[in-house]
Amino acid sequence: MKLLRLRVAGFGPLRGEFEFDPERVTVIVDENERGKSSLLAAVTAALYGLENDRRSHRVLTPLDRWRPWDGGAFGVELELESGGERYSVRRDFERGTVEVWNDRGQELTPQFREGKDEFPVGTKLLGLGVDEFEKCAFVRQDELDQVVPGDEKARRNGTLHARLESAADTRGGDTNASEALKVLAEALKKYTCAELEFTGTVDNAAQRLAAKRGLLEAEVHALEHQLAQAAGPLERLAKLGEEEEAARAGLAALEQERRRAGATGVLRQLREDEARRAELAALRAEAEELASCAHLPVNAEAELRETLARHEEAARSLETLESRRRGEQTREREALEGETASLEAYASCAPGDADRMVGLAAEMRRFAEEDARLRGEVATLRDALAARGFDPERAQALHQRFGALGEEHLRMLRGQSDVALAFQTEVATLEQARTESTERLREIDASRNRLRLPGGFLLALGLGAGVAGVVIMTMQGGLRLWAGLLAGAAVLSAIGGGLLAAASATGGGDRQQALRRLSDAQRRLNQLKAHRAESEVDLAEVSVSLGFRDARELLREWGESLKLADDSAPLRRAHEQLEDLEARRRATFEEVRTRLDRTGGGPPDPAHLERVAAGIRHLTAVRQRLAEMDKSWSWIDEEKHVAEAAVRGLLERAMRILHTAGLAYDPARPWTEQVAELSARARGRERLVLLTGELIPKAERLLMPGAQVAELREQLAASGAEAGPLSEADAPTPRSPLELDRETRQLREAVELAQRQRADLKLEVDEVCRRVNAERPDKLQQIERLDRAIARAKRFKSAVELAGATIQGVALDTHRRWADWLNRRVVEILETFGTRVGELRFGEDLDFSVRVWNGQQLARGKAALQLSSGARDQLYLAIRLAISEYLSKRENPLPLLVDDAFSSSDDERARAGMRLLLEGLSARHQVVFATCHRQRLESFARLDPELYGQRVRRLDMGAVGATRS
Amino acid sequence: MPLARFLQVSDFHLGRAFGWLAAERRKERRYEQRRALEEAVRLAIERGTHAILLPGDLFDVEAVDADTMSFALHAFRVAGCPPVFVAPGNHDPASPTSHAWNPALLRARGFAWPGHVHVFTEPEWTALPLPGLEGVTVWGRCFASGMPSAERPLEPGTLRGVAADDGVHVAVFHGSREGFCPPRQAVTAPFSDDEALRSRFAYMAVGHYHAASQLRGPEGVRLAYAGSAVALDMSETGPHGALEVRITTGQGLPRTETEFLELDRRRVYDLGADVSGCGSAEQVDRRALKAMDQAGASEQDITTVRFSGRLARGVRYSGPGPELEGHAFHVRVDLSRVRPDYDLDALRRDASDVTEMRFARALLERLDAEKDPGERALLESALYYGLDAFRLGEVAPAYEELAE
Repeated sequence: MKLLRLRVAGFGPLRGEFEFDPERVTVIVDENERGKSSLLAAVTAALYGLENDRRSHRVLTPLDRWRPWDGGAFGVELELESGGERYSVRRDFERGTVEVWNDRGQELTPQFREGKDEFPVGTKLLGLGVDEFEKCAFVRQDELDQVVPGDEKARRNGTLHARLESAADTRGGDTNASEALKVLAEALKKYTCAELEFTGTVDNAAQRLAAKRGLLEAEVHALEHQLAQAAGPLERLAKLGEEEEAARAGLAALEQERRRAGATGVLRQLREDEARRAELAALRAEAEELASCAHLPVNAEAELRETLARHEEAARSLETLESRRRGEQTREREALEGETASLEAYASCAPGDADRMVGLAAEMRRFAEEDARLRGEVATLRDALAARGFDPERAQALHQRFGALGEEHLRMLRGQSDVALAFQTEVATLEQARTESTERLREIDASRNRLRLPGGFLLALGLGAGVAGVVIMTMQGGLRLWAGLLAGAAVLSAIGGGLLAAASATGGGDRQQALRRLSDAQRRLNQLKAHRAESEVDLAEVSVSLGFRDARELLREWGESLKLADDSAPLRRAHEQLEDLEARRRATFEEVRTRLDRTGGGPPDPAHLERVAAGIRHLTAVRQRLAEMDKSWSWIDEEKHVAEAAVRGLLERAMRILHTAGLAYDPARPWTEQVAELSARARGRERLVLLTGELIPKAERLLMPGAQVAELREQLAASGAEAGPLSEADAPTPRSPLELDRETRQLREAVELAQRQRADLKLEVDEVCRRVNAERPDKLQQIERLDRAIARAKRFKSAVELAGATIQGVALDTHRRWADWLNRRVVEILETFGTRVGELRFGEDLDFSVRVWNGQQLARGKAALQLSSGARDQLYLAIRLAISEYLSKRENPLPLLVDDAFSSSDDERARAGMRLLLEGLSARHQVVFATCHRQRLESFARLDPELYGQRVRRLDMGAVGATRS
Repeated sequence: MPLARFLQVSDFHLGRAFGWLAAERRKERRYEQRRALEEAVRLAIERGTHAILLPGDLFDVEAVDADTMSFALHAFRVAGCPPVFVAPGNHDPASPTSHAWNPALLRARGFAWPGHVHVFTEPEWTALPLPGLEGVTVWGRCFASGMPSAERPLEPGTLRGVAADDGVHVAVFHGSREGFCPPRQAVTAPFSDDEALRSRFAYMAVGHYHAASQLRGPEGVRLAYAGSAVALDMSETGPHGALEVRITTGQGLPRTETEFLELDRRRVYDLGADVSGCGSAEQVDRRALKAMDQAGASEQDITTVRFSGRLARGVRYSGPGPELEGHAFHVRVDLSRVRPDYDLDALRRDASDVTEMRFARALLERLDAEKDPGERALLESALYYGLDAFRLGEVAPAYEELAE
């Protein structure tokens, strides 16, 4: 690619048109901050545009950075040649537009479109992204080492390394070997196994699959084992079946045996039936004998016994009641009489006395409480007054002094403050009314004066004119003159008069009213003042009479007297209450004394009063109980009557029971004999009930029905016919029915046991079969699926590893190719600079080591520290130039935009570097070199005039300014 | 007039898990399998057959569970059901431990075959007269173990003394007709066509192969497989059911003809579809749907779609989508013949020095030299993964099931 011309409408500090020589090195010379670097940046911007992504450029985006400093248009146009075709790239950064044209006037913009609205012309033409372009082609003086980042990850992640590989591959654009290996390695790490729902390394997936398979296999084995184990229960099941069949056969045999023994049984049954019939007949005979007892009530004997017992008990309780009444009455009377004697002192008192004594006791207690409370209150009030500075003597003195005044004077003194207040209030109101009236009068007078002045003037003028007219008329002056003067005088006088009249009429009513209010107020004021004066005279008289200096002292003392009276009012009231209380207590005490004297005296305290009252009440109660004692034992008589009635009733009931049982009561015979007779009849009835209700029906039930008897007889007859006459002796009963039953029961139990065991075993076997059938095929299927998954994972791993190994093998060769070239070329370039580097070795990741002139091998990091800054810069410049050359080997040669790359080199090396650019690199690459070292450049040019004359085209930014549009 | 009329049905494999089906479909398929047996019995009754011939594999396993056993017993315990002759197969051999055929074990579990079900529990040929038809004898032999057997049931030595009289002899057994064994089925109790034709059986009802087939002789059909009553896996394409066998008397040997009676309402299809040019997984599914439509596969059928061709770069197809799945009772796709859209011939021809090309050439050279199919598939996978890495910058498992 060759840069031909750059037109800058506005780009940072830059503006103007700059031509680049495609064949020679364009050297831009200018001072710092004049736009050299901006020019090179403008070239990059023309090729790649300017980014405006604030996420990646938080402080300042490139678009903002390169906005024209002086405002105005923001854009560049770059003409260049690439692949034999001329292009013109126009970018308007302000509007964000791009146009690409060729020299035939065809617009090629769409060909350079990438993505939505990106037009990376440089990428399309050079096969390098903007970062790679800046690393390879754009050599800034302070960014030389960025071509090979120090960090390995950055080196590996950097695309330049990939570009070198791609360049080595003679391809550009697609994935290179390193990336492919990375992708393959990543695929092995992120293997997704659907069977496990797992994503991880393929090895992990395979292990997990194998583990799961093992688990399933174990489960299948377990199932198979269970199935095998089920063979035992199955055999046992079969055996049990056989045992059950055997038991059933045994049962059948027993049944046959039982039938064989049947005939003997029939004979025995018939005989037993006959015996039962005889027994039944005996029972029926006994029942007939006992028929007379049939109507005896069921519990007649018990009732009779119970009635007799209750009768005896009632008679006993009757006697007990009588003796108890007598004893109790005697004891109580003695006790009550004793109590009455002890309370003899209160014999003269009535229950009302006791109530009054209780009331007096309560009253005394209340007096005491009230007295204590009032005294406490007095003390509290005194303390409170004393605390406020209350002087009781002063209060007493004032009280006495003003107490001598008559009621009229006291009223006057009391109303003095009200009078003064009313006076003040009314005077203020009257003063206000007077002021308002005066103001109103003034206003009305002012209004009148405003009319009176012109009226008076006009009237005077009219009079003057009239006098003049009369004088002229008198003097026989001109008719017109005096007539005019007279007419004028009339008019002016009329107006003046009118105005004066109007003035007099203005506010007439208001003025009268204001005058009236003014005079009223004044009169009232006078009255008040007179009244006050009178009052003051009265006060003066009173003050003199009371010995005060003047009325003011009188009023002050009066006010203090009132205040002291107010303050001491509660105390005074408390004292009054105390006095009242004391009077009432004395009266009560007297009454108490009188009453106590009647009951034998004693201390006049509430407790004693209450004791006396209690004694009076107790005596009253004792007297009452004595009076009512006979009445209180009357219940015993009632109980006695009831008991006597009960005794009679029970006796009648016993007689009735005997009668019901068919026996007659004989008072001569003791009750024991009559009860024994009834008892014998009751036993007969019970036996009859037993016979008719139980024994006879049971015996009847045991009898065989006639038909059965007939049938048995027929059977017996038949048996007799088959086997001859049957007798008990020849009955075929080798085993008793009991034995047969026992054996039958045993066999049945055996059958049931076998059935139960079979059911359990069957369940067990069925469950195993069900489980095996339900789970085994599924598990086998799962194992099969897992086998396939394991095989897939392994095969994936093998295939990816095989692909990786193959790529690795091929990539080693690729690496060798670009590394060899760089190793050789960098050393060559450094030799041109005069830097002594023995050997350079690039690693696969673009890192390198250096063997310096003394044979020491230095890793890149170490070399960067040990080499001088000039040597280091030259080393990195050489690497950068070599990489650019390599990348340009088969593609468009890169233009090299070198921004003062030798600033840190000494003159000799800088000169050598310049020679390398002029002689070596510019033959293939277009070189644009920017520097601020004008003197140095000129000295180099003087040293190599021919070289610089032929190979350099100087572009002085200062001079160029003249060509700027 | 037909002398004898039979219904031949076999290879029910009752109790099969159908693990290859989606879990929610398995129960339905097992129900259909049972329905087929009931239908077979119903057909036998309706058509007035003299017997049902069941040459093996009524059950899928030897340890039949109670539910399956109970169903089978009741299926035959139908009023009017003709005699049933069962010759146990390799899946349900008549071993002493057989839960289905050992009468003691069967009885122990509370089961018993109805009286009209005759089970040949001997590995040698044994005969039973056909009730109601004088002169017709049914011969049978069973499998005594689940292992494949090399014993030849129709070789003259084995048949010595068998079907020696002049009556009509019908054989029921489980065996493999040589030369016709399906790829995934084991050869067991083999016999040749010649052996079959030379035997004295008028007709041989054989089980084991799940596809219906027959061997004809001059007198008509001499031997026939009814195939499995219902399709049991994805490989069992075509209709499945029973055979009605009619044996008529005439001049010379009796003549036999068969009629196929379909029992399975579903069919298994094995279809091919080319995915070349498909740009998305949905397009691939649509190709499959088109192939299914063309073949007449309906929503109740079971279909395998074998894709072939070259799938566009970056298209990842891992299995049928919902639309395709909704168009079949079950659908399976085979991607072993699908290749990514890399032109291997062009890579072979490309002589450039690019890493990618050199990588491709290196593997292609090995691939061309390799004969082992497994190794070839591995090399091919590696090649595709490498090319994916170079060209797509992405590698995902896709080429593990490549086949030639």
